[in-house]
Parts: sequence; structure tokens; C-alpha cells
Amino acid sequence: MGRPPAAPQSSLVYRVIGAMKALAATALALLMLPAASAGAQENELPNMPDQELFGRPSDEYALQFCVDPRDPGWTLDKAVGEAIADALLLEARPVVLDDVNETGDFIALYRYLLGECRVFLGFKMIAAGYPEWLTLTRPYYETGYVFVAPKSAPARLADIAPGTPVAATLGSSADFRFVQYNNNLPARQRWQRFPYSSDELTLEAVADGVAAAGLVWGPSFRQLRHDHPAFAELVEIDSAPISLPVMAVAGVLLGQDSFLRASIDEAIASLVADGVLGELIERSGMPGNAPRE
Amino acid sequence: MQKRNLLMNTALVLITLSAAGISSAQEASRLDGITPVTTDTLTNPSDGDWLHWRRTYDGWGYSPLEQINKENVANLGVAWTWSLTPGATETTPIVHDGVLFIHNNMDTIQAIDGASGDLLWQYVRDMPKSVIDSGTGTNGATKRNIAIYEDKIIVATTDVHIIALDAKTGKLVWDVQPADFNKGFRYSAGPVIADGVIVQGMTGCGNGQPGGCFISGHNPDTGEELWRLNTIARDDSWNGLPIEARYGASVWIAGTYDPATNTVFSGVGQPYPWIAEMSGLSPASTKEGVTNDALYTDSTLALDPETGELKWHHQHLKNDTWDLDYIYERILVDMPVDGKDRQLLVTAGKLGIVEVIDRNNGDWVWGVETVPQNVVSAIDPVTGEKTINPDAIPRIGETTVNCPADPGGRGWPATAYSPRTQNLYLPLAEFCSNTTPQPLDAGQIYTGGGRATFARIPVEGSDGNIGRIDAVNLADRSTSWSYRQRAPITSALLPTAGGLVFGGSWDRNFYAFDDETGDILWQIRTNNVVNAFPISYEVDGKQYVAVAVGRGSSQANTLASLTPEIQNPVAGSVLWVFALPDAK
Repeated sequence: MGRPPAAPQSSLVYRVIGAMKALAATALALLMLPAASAGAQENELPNMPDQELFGRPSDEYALQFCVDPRDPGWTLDKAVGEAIADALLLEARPVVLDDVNETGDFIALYRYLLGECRVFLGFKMIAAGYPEWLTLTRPYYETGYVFVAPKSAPARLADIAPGTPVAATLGSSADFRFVQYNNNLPARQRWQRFPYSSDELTLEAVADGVAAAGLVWGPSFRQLRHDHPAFAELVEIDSAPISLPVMAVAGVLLGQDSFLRASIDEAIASLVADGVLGELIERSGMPGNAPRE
Repeated sequence: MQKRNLLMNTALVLITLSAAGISSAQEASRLDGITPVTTDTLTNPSDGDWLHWRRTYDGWGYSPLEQINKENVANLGVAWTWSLTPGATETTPIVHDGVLFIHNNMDTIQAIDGASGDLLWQYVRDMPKSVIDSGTGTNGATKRNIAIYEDKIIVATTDVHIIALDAKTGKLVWDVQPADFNKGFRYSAGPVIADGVIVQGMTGCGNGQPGGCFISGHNPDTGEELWRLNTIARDDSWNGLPIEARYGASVWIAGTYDPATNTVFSGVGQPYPWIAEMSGLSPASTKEGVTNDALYTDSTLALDPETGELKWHHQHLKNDTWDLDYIYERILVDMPVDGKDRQLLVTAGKLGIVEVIDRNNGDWVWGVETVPQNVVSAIDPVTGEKTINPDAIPRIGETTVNCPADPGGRGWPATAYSPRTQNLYLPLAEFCSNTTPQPLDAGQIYTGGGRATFARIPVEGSDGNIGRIDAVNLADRSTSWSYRQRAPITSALLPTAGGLVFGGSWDRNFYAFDDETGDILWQIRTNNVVNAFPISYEVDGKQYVAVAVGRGSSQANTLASLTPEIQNPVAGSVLWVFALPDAK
């Protein structure tokens, strides 16, 4: 074969790789920072040919924030948004989206932040997970992913026999941990990972006996277990030997809205200190807790 | 859903047209002159028509017109222009009996007088809110082709219907819905009409669509679905995954057709999500009889248009973990190979490797590389089996380098073949990517869509040129010429009997190259990115060259990150039509 290039050696490469190594080393710290660097294409504002049709919502004396009923934590997000507005002495104007698409992308998010709301609540703080034109508030909620299995199954992931199918909602931060752990085992000691595109499909695979356990978003499990009788027999199991990440949940804004972000950060800090967020989370019944001060 | 047909031949519009100097009688005669397009017409189109996505069933994308040629192309000028609706513009007009039919972003279909540029009718489709909210910048809102059959224009719509419009009036004839937009299904290309059957590929079957994509066959009289072929195999090639955990294999480019053997040839895209560790295709299963090839991703499918029966398949890339589709056009060429006449199928995936297989059985014939790539380290000359460079395989928690990357060493802008030169003309791009898998779960719904961060970079030792056109001679496998420039080549290519190859680039230039040397014989700076499929047609004895421009293609925008100094307007989608000046 002709001309297979060696790994490019340009200074840009070194800058990018160097930046990524730095990101990996400081991932935890970055959770508290605005969105970290993503790829060049993602860092450019989406191309919106009809952008002239949009107007940013007027601030007036209100906080216009989006919540998404497709997210199992949306009622908590809405309560948090109202509390933030109250702390800022602003009128709370929640925008409850009615999008019926099963999935969305950052272009859709951009449209909402242009046309519907200033801040969109319910986003996980993932290092390098966001383009530079977005910024995140400080977190208002900490929760995580869970392994679930039928009540009759072993109470620990570690007790599920190698070679047994284990379902996972694909591509989550916790799924990455699962993949990295599992793939580093000798072939005969691995579980067989079945990736599914939603928490509901993952739970169905477990309930139907296709997989012995499943890895899903904790708030989703709470909601789906409540809504679907077939999932009532599923319970959380110990994830050991895999350490699942705690996920911090925050609001996302356009990067240009730095003043508003700073104000929201102050409001969240005060709501944490006053114990308001802890009460809202407890009242919602959602798994997890308020972040520490 | 409400649908409107804004037929323009109302009294009010006729007054307007008359005011513009076009009599209603002339309008009527151009539309009245449209003859039915039969299977025979599609098989043997007149030289002045452009009836298929790539003009002819063999997918050459070649115009036999020669009025515009090397000697006079310097005099080429603008005949007329027509503004298109905003948004991604990847369209191919079709032309029949002097009427040009064009798809605009978000499914406005227009019939335009090919000579004067006057509007004859238009159909505007009202979309559900969820479709409108998805935006005009997405590939799903543009369509790379539409089709014509009998007296109907066939369109795969943005809200994932297939519709038929009366070619003379634009009135809706029938409307069927093969899949649900809200579940992630999309159409970004139109159908090929083969043996009287509409053959349409489905895309958008990403991680939201368990079981993957499909190709469907439809009755052109009613739209009724006749058959459906799953493009994810129900076999043991998916690493032991259940069907519900297999994703991808989208079909987002129209196929080509061999009437002699009644066979449709279609490409298939990659598995989803792109990173094999995420899709469950890696590490490979150790179970006997189980592979992780992921059929029929990145394959050529040969299928019967009447039944959808799969005759054979050839997989070009197993377990694609880079988003390096082999979806693009299949070009059918007959020529001797090693002294023996062969019926060949030619294609190139995003790797930019020209691959030639026997179109009767899918057997490998030969391949030749074009742009720098580091994914494939060897190709078996007998079977075409590719050896993968393990260093280029993305891994969770690591950053790896692969050349090229997702927008492709060649993207959806089509290659073309000229029987004049026996050259395959390829629009290419030279670049690499630092690839880092990323979690999908930024928001519970909002995935970010990337599945990985692709930080695009020039190839090692690059002189700064990203764009490139190669002319590869299919008879002797040599590179006849190679043209390189800074701006990415963003349009398909159009060779003509006049000895020209038309094509355009990210810097808004539209060129006519000498088909034998690659010399630029003519160029014009348009208003926006030349990012569609140029065509040529004839009306009233005059040859025209037409191409849509307009920013919005994700492929073009992605390549543009390599040339940040070249800036283009966001708005301004326009159909440009060129012709020689009338003799005085």
C-alpha cells in the first residue's frame, strides 16, 4: 500500500494531544469549570440558515429556563429553576418543551437557547463533552448510574458469571467505565455486553431475561420502575468491581451569557448553603443529593 | 398534517407571469410538452435530458452534450439564476423535455422552465413542528436527488414520507409514510426507479433505531410498499449481539441499476455508534461461528427490484469504527481486465480507495488508493480483503490518529466517469483526525451526536492543500492527472462530451477543467459554497450547465474547519445556470 502517513507531527497535533492529556489528568477539576475543549467542528456555532428568524428572549425581570419532559428528572429541574429565579429576585418563566423526537442533538439545543430560553437545565457535567460555544453552570444535583437485575439474581455484579450477557444503555459515562473494565479482562472472564439505545430497552432486556443485569441512569430507573409493572421486580445491585462515576447535573447556556451564568452560579451556591436544594431533591424522590458546598 | 399545494397556474399568478413578460401560452406549452417517462426512456434518455440522479442508470454522471467544449468554454456565462429556500443544499435537478425540477430544503419542489428560468409550478410541503424544529441545516432537510417516472415526480420527504407529484401541475398524487420521523428515521436522498419499482433507502437509523435501516420497494402508481430489505443482516456477523442491539447500516445515497440483469446496486453505511467498543462490535467474540464483520454495513448490495431479494453482497470494510462509509455511487462500466471483457462496478468509500468488483457476483477485481490514508495497511489482491492498521482503531480513553476521518477522503459529492477518457473523476480531500471517543449522555436526550471528538488536522508534511481532484484511468489504473488546491472540493463532478469536467469548491468557485489534463479552462466565483451535483441539459437546441450552491452541508462545513480563513455567508442558496452567449 502506498503512502500511509505516519502520525502527523504538526505543532497543532501536539497542542491538541497535549491538551487532551491535560484534560484527562484534571477531569475532576474540570467538572467545576465551563465546558472543556471539544473537536474543532463541534466548537463552531451550528450553521443556522434561518437564524435571522430568531430573537433572543428578552430578560426583563424574568429567568426564562427550559426543561424537557423527556428527561426523567425534569420536574426536579423545573423546581430548581424556579428556586434559582426566586433567589435572583426574578420571575420564573419555565419553558416546558414539547419535542416528540426520541433524541436530540446540540443543534436542537442551540435553537432552544436562541429562541426559547436563556438556560436549559438537566445536563450532565462531562469533561470535553460540550462545544466551546456552550457553558455550564455549577452543579445543582448529584446522582449517577446503577446496575439493576431481577430480585432473584445475584446481589453483586461481581457474582454474575463471565460470559453472561449484561445490558447497558450505550455510550454513557458509566458505560465507558464498564467497557474499559470489561475489555481489559482476559476474554474468558468478560461479560458479554449488549448495548441498547435507551434505558427502557436496557431494562426490557433484563426483565425479559435477555441479559442478567443492566446499566442505566438512576433517575430513569426510578421513573421507569414506577411506570412499567414489568420493571417492578428489578432492583439495584452492587456495581463492584466497577466503580461508577457520580454525575453532577447543571444548566447549560450559550457561552456569551457569562454574566447570567455567574449569577446563576451564585444562586445555586446560596441554595446549596441554605439547604433548599437538598429539600427539593428529597421532596422529588429522585435518587442522589445536592452537591457539597 | 396539513399539506398545501401552491400550484402557480392560478389567475393571479398568470397575471404575475404575464407581467414578467412570460405569456401563459408559453408556460402551458412547456408543461404540455412533457412526455411520459417510461422504463425505456429511463434506460435510454435523450442526450438533452437529465432523468436520474447521475443522469443514466449506470451512474456515470456524464453528459453527452458537447456544445460547450474546450474551445468555447471561456465564453460561458450566466444564463439565469434562481434563489432556493435557505438551508443545506445538496440537490440534483432533473430535467425532462425542457423542464427542470428541483428540490429545495424542507421539501419545496419546483418546476422551472429550463431555458428561461421561469417558475412553472411549485409544491410546498407543510411540516410537523418536530420536523421544523430539527432545522434546515441538517442533511435530512435536503435531498440529494428526486426521481421522475411516467407522469410523476417522486420525492422522499423530510418528514419521512414518499410522495408523488403530477409532473405537469405539481399536484400531490399519492403520499405514503414508510417510517416515523420522531423515532429518528430520515431520508436524505431520493429513489432510483428500476423496472417500474421505486427503490428507496432509509437513513437516520442511528443509536435510536434498534435493528437498523432498510431499503424498500414501492409501487409507482400508489406508493404501496412492495418489499423491505433489512440492511443489518440477521446472522452471526454482529459479534453475538441481539437484533435489538444492532444499529446503523443506513442507506443515504440512491442506487444504480443494470437493466440487463435487472439488478439494483446500493451502498450501505457503517454501524452505529461509530466507535466499535461502544457498539459492542469490539472486542471480537470468541464464540465459534460468530464474527464482528457487521454485515451488511459498508457493503455493496445487489438486489432484485421486483422482490427486494438480495442476490449477492460485497463488504468493503468490516467492523467500521471510524464512520468511513461505503455508501456512495456505484458506477457500472464494461471494459477488459487482463484481456478479458468484464462487467464492472466501481465505487470509492470515504477512504478514497477506488474499488472495482465484478457486478455479476461481487468478486474483487482491483483497487487503487488516492488520498493519504492510514486505516488500511494492505489489500489482498485476490479477494480484496483489507488488513487494518491497529494503531488507527479508536479506543475509549485514548486519542488515536486516523486518515481520513468522518467527512471522508471523498464525501457524498459524487465521482463521475467519462467514456471519452475512460477516467473516473474523484472529488477528494487530504486530512487526518485525532479521534477521541466521547460519552453520548450530555443531556438525557441531547447526545451531542458526535460519539467521538474528531479534531481534524492536515496530513503529515501537508503543503496546506486540502482539496483535490484525481482522474484515475479505469483501463490502466493510472492517475491521468491530479489537481490540488487549498479549498476543499465540495461538489460532485460533471464530465461532458465537450471534454470538460465541471466541479466546485468551498471557496465558492465553480470550475471547468480540461478532462485530459486537469487544466482550469474557466471559472466563476458564485455567491456561496458549490456543494451539490452539477448537471448539463439541453433546451431548444442550447446546452446548459446547472449547479445549486448554498452553505449548509455538514460534510462541507466539517471539511471547512481545516481552512478557517475561508469564510462564507450563512444564507444564500441559489441555482446557477450557465450557457454560451447566443450567436449575434
